[in-house]
Formats: sequence, C-alpha cells, structure tokens
Amino acid sequence: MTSAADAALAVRDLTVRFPTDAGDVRAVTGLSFTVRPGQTLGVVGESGSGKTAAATALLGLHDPRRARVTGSVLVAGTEVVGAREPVLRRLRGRSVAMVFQDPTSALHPFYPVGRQVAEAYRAHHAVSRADAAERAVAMLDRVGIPAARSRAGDHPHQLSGGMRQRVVIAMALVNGPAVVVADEPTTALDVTVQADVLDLLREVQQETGTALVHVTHDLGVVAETADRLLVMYAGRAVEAGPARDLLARPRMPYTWGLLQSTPDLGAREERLRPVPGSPPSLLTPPDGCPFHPRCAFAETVPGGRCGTDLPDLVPVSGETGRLRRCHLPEDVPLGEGQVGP
Amino acid sequence: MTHDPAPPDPLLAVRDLRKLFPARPTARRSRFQGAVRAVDGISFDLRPGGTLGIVGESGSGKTTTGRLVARLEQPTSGSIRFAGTEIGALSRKEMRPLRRQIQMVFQDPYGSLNPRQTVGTALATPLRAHALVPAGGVGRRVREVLELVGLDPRHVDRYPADLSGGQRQRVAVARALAVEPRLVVADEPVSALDVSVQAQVVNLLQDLRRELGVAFLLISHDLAVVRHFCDDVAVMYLGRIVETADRDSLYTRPLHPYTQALMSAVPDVRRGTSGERLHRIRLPGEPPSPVSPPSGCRFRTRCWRAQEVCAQVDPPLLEITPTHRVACHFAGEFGAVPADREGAPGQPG
Ligand SMILES: Nc1ncnc2c1ncn2[C@@H]1O[C@H](COP(=O)(O)OP(=O)(O)OP(=O)(O)O)[C@@H](O)[C@H]1O
Ligand SMILES: Nc1ncnc2c1ncn2[C@@H]1O[C@H](COP(=O)(O)OP(=O)(O)O)[C@@H](O)[C@H]1O
Ligand code: SF4
Ligand SMILES: [Mg+2]
Ligand SMILES: [Mg+2]
Repeated sequence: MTSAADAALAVRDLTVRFPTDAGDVRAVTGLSFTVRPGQTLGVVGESGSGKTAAATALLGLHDPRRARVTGSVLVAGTEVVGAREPVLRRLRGRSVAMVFQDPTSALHPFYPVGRQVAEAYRAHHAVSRADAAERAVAMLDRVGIPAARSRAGDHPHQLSGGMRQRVVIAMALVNGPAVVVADEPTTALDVTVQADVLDLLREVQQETGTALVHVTHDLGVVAETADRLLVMYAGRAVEAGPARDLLARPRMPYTWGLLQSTPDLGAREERLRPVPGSPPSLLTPPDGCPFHPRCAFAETVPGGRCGTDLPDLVPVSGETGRLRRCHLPEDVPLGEGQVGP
Repeated sequence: MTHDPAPPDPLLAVRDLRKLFPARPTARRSRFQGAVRAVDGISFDLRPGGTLGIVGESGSGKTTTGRLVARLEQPTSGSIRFAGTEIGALSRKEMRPLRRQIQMVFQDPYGSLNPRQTVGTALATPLRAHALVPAGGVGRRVREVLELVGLDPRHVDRYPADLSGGQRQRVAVARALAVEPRLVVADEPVSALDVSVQAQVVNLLQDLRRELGVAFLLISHDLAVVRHFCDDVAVMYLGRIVETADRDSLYTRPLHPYTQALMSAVPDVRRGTSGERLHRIRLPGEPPSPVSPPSGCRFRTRCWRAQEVCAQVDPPLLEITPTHRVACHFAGEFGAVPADREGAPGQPG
C-alpha cells in the first residue's frame, strides 16, 4: 500500500454507526485503505455490508444527527471527518465527487441537464454563465452524449437511463476532482449500457488521472476495471489485494464462497454452490469472526477461535499487497474449482 | 431440448401474441397518439416440466409476456394455448378454474407479500381459495410447503418484515407451489437477492422443478442465471423474439447480432481475471421507442451488419437447426463470426 502522503485518498480506521432505538447499527468498523491518483479501488460486498455508509463518509455526506463517523478520511491531504460544512462544500465537487446508483435522483427534474453541469462548474470557478455553459457542452460531449449542444437543453426525463448516468458522470468530472466515488454506478443499467458506462469511466480516469473508488456488489463489474479490491463483510474489510490475483486465488472463505456461488456465463455446472445462511444483522454482529456462522472452515480452526476472537486484517505471507482477516492457517486450501486461471 | 421421437404436446403454445398499450403523451411526442407495442407478435412453446428463459433489455417486453401468459393481462391479439385450452380470450370468470395451474413469482417479495399477513396466512389463503385440502388439513399443508422450500415450519407466525430477502423469496415460491401449479411464471425471481443467497434460491427452484415436474417460464436479465436454470432460451428485443434456441446452442453459438452484442457485454469474473476479455460489440445509438419501431428489422438502427434489405423487410424467425431459430436476414451466413469480431460473442473461454 502507498503512504498517505502520495495518496489521493487515505482512509484510516473509518467507523460509521447509526444510533437507533434498538441500539447502534455498526455499518462500518475500522476501515483503512489508500488510493493513488489514477488508480481504481473496487469495494465489493453484499447488500448491507456497509459499502454505501463508507462511500457516503468519504464525502462527509452523513447527517451528524443520524450517523456517528470517526477515524480519518484525507482527500488530497484535507481531513473530511469532523470538517465544517464550508470546508466540505469547497471540497465536494472540486476535490472529491460522487456518482450514485440512481441517476434520476442525482439530477434536478426541472432544469436542463446542461445547466446542471454548468452550475456544478460555477460552484467552484468564477466564470460567466456563457463560459460555464460552453464548458458543460464540452463535458457532455466528452462523456458521449450525442449532439451534446442540443441535448444540453433536455430535461433529465427526456434522456435514457444510460444517458442520465453519463450526465451525472459529466457533473462529477467537470471540476477535475482528485477522487471520484462511484456507488453502484451501473447497477440500474442494462448490460450493454453498463459496459459503455464502465468503458467511459475507465477512459476518463486514464485521461484525468483521478482516483476512483468503485463500490459494487457485482464481482464481474470490477474484475476488469479495478486495480485493487477490498472485500467487505458485516462492515469490515475481510480481504484486500490486487484485483485479478484476489479473484483468481481468494484467500479468505467469504470471498471464496462469493466466487463459488456466482453462476458462470462461460460454462454450466449442474449445481450452484451457495454460501449457507444470510449476512448478520449489524445491530448485533456475531462475536469473533463476523463470517463464522456461515463459514465452512470455522470448525477446522483449532480452539474454536472463530466464534470468540476477531481475526486481524494482516498481510498474507509471501504475497505482495494481499491482506486477509481469517484464523484459518494460510496453507489450508479453500477447495477445488476456484474461479479464474 | 428433448429429441424424443414424438415430443409431448406442449403445455404452453403461444402464437403471434400481441399486447399494445395506449401510449402516454410525453414532452417529445405530445400530440402523437400511438400505441406502445410492448409485445408485438411472438410465438413459442413450452413442454410439460420444461424451462424456458426469456432474456432481453429493459423494456423489451419480458414482463408483459409473463403477465399475458399468466392472464394478468388481456392480449390484444394472438393465441395462448395452455394444456390444450385456448386461454387468450377467456374472461376472468372463465379463467378461474385454470388460475391455480399457472402461478407467478415476482422480483420483489416485499411487494407481493402483504406486510400485515403472517407467512402462515399468506400460504393458507390460496389453499383455502382453491379448496385444495380439507379445511382441517390446511395447517399441515402449510408446514409441508415451508419445509419444501427449506424454511423452518416455525416461520408460520412471522411477518415478511422479520424475514431476510432470501427467506421472503422462499415464501413467495412456497405460495406459488402450494397450489400445485403446472406452470410457474417467475419474473426476475432472484434479481433482488445477493449472489450467495441467490444461488440458494436457484438451487431450490431446480430441485422443486425436478421433484414436482413443474414447468417454468423464467424471466431474467441475468444471462448466467438463465444459462444455469433453463433448457431453452428466447432473446427479446423491442417486443419481438429475435433468437431462440436450446441453452447450449444459444450460449456457445449465438447467431443474432443482438444476442452476440448482449453476451459480449456481460461482466464476467472469469473473463476479467484471465484477461481474455473478448472483443466487445458496441451498439451505436439508443434503443428505439416501442411506439414507433423501425421499419423492417427492428434491430437495424443499432446493427453493424445491417444492409438495405433490413430497412425494407422484417426478417421472420427462421429455423437454422431444429432447435435454433433466428430472425435476421443474414442468419444463414453466420456459421462463423467475421474475422474482426473473432470470438466476440460469448464463446466459452
Ligand atoms: N401498463 C402499461 N401501460 C403502458 N405501457 C406499458 C405498460 N406495461 C408495460 N408497458 C411498456 O411496454 C414495454 C415493455 O415493458 P415490459 O415491462 O414488458 O418490459 P421488460 O422487458 O419486462 O423490462 P424490464 O427488464 O425493465 O422489467 C415498455 O416500453 C413499457 O414501458
Ligand atoms: N440511516 C441509517 N440508519 C440506520 N441504519 C442504517 C442507515 N443507513 C444504513 N444503515 C444500515 O447500515 C448497514 C450498512 O448499510 P449500507 O452501507 O447501505 O450497505 P451497502 O451499501 O453495502 O448495501 C445496513 O445494516 C443498513 O441497514
Ligand atoms: S476466521 Fe474462521 S470463521 Fe472467519 S473466515 Fe476464517 S475460518 Fe471462517
Ligand atoms: Mg449500497
Ligand atoms: Mg420486467
């Protein structure tokens, strides 16, 4: 991993809790990672694993009355956690921008899309309306909106879902932020449109050198696009490493199980291999390893430690950049039929 | 597909089925009053105990097809024969004796289960309505079907909100199967579930299909799930079936340009990690409006193979092999994909 100094984004011990009548929902616990300029970090996990809660904290978007955020998030050297609203406003859009799953709710229904991109630019640049409008058209053109100059006058409902997401991406990129956080940016789109939007994200990232945090539940989506992956389970990082390597050789039972249960487009097996049970409640997460109630290997770990001690997230010996959180001895193979080469 | 000398009569035979909805005026076509051609002349068969998957992009007409077959929707024209009976034109009342035999499972079990009803009530109500078991036996049958779908029978007293997504979907499946249907129309039944849980439900559906001999019409945008579950697959584009084949032919040798593009776009862990990312086929432009589909072949505005004839003549669904039919003027020439697209369409890696 990189040092915090040359990282576009450095997250240390990030914790997000939602106080409720039934107790605290521990959405994110002790999350740490860094992303360099031009790099893509894929954050993967099932629904409820804390991905959105973490992504939201990266922009300081949690409502302080509803969420308790601790730890540190440094965006291009500026601390986000605990920052005051004026500081955050300067940071958002300019240094860090977000692309949400649902492009419809990210856009204002009543204004033309070109104007919305232009306003996003004017929020950080002292330019005339006309210049901002020009910049918006250029940006819409860059993200592949055909006939950008005339489509700039369209309202969001006049555009298809894919085109709307392109507009949102244009808004996110118009100020050249150091970091873009995309939370399930293609989940609502058809596969052919999704592939176009993924290509677009990759292209503009290469052009601009922005750091990208790509949050998704779909391993296939980040398999091709991410440099590194971070796997979340029950609010914690359970495995991390170079994307291809991690997917080809998972070293932690949850990641392995997730890959095992994914049906393969290229070949067919008689039966899928699901992970038994379902993810735990974050109100009362289990003691020990959060995955132990569903883990096929927990019983083989000496001393029943999986049910009592939380394993640390530690480097896998002899491997560069790989981390895992698991008591299982490293030399125990996770099983036959691993995904990948 | 089966290759029996005399294939059994189909359980479901759909012919030239159409459903037009009145188009809502939008800003762009405020005066133009047309019809949304949601399903525009489709035909297919499903044999008893068979599984047909319908895939295609949003708005292509998958859900409408499922709702027509389950007769939740009245066809504009065409024929739906179910177990030898024409059901396309039956009234609500005439449908009643057949209702039980065709059941639906929806994507969102939150929406399809009444939040104020316990699991037990949700399952007992259809049993009583169809008088399938004597009144005294309803409780036992409810526990039986819960066990069938792998749920603890003690769940009868729970409310939908107290169940996980996977458990709710099991309840929805249990409710559909409790009345012993011959056909289940499942519209995106696992799309809302996480993959680890989705695999549980797919396996469950597979087991139930084998044990009970129920036929499935599975509607899904997930090509990998369909490959896993279905014997036969139909690909829809803009209200039409553009290609239909047995599973293996469709996935190893897709012939319609749209199917090829669709398959090349699916994000896949194996392709991603092996770096053997196949050349993706990019579709130019946007899907046309189902209110005014293009003349001739509906796919031509986005098709890289389109020739003049495509704008003039609507290609029929032609048989390429006994199990593979394609609606494209050049389908016969598609033995090999062109050199610059080599390996493009979902060839297994
Ligand atoms: N009740 C209705 N009134 C008017 N138009 C409708 C109605 N139901 C469906 N449509 C239209 O018919 C077309 C086909 O819709 P359908 O829901 O069958 O698509 P689908 O393939 O199931 O899409 P998705 O993948 O998004 O579920 C769409 O253009 C849709 O907007
Ligand atoms: N505003 C909130 N109040 C209480 N709990 C919340 C709130 N937002 C999210 N949660 C809970 O936090 C956990 C993580 O949620 P989220 O970050 O949305 O997961 P993901 O994006 O991985 O699906 C879940 O248990 C969710 O129910
Ligand atoms: S720590 Fe134990 S329970 Fe957790 S993943 Fe490893 S073996 Fe399984
Ligand atoms: Mg989320
Ligand atoms: Mg649908």
